[in-house]
Amino acid sequence: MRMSERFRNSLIVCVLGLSGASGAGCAHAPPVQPWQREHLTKRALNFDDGMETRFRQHLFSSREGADGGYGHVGGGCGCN
Amino acid sequence: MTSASAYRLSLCAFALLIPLSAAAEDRVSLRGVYFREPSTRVVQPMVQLTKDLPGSVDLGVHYLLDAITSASVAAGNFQDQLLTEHRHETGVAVGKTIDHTRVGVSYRYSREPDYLSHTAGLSFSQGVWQNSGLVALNLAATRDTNRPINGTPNPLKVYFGGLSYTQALSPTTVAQLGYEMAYLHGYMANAYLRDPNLGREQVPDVRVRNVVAARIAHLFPDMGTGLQLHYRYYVDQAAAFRLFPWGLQSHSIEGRVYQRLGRDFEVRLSYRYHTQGAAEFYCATAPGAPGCYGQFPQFHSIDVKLGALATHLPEIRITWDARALGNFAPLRWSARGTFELSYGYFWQSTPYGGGHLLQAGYSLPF
Repeated sequence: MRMSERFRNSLIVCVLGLSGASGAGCAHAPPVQPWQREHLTKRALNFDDGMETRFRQHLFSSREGADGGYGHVGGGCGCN
Repeated sequence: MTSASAYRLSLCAFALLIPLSAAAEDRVSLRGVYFREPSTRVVQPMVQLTKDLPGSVDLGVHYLLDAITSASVAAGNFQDQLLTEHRHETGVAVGKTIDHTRVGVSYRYSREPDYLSHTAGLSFSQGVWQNSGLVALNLAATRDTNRPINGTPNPLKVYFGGLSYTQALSPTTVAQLGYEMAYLHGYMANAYLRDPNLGREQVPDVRVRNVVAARIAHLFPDMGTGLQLHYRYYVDQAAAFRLFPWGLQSHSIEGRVYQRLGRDFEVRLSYRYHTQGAAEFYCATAPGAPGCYGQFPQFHSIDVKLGALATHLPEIRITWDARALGNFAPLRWSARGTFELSYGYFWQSTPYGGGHLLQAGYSLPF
């Protein structure tokens, strides 16, 4: 079997596999139905700290050498 | 509230990795921060406004001021002289929601006497699995210019990409996984730090920051108690598949307990621990001591945040939904808002010492 054929067959297998996997995922009902989402807006289930994050990120980036992990670009100040 | 607004709010309930300014709701938020450590004091007022516009478009703008009074080592000031400088930051973000998809653009401008920064961002988020999950992609490019007093301007370019997946695992459990990478190219040294033997510090001009983060939250509705656990792993690279000469790695873990107190109050207790190793070219030898570096090292730094260190941040936050103010006619307008007050102690193993962190905020939907 030529290299290009082998590559093509591998690609087909991958595409079919991914399609099957995603199809299986879509076929399952989500773990939370729309009528079960009343708690999801509670602060305890929300990772977004709002404006609190801004200063925290600023503090950590200026005192620790490991910036990042807040979902948006840090820096913007002389604290790299 | 329109159905589009409700949908975007539900997205925001999941999406910590969507830039804050993109949170869609008609809301004005005010916040003040006071941070005090032995050598530095920071006072930071900020204001943010978000507004829904016609056509499922949302707009967010913010402004903040950092008033930093310092005699810190980071400022290169080893004498008993206080310096105060101001950093102004403003930003605008616009987003559009179509079905379960949101696309946003943003711009941020920051200016201080010796530093100038422009950041442009692009965000994309997609609700998946009947909207019980959210995939978020954030891209940004930053152009910084470090302009040390009596020095030549030094540019820094930053390219950022972040991908996250947030999934509601049950009606009371949410989990998130994320990966971020930032490619920095340009001047990254502290212009004011000088090694007594080697002079101005020299650090590589390429740095690749990598962060993997995982978070999980669970709520016990009957008790009004919530728990969160955050973990973050960070590693610096000098290039793809090459850690050194940066090689800095860190672990950060944070636990939070939320407790509802009555109808309007909530207390959050949290504790964050961060530990990191040193960059390969960092040297902690006392000034003037020989043997820390070779005679002509390519890179050298005495910046303590590039050394091995640990920090602890225990914090308490009280949130008050101000419905009770609706009983007082003069303050009725503020009854839909939320007040927030927090105090934390930032303990550091470095010479910066401990810092008191106090924050107060008020947020009002309109």
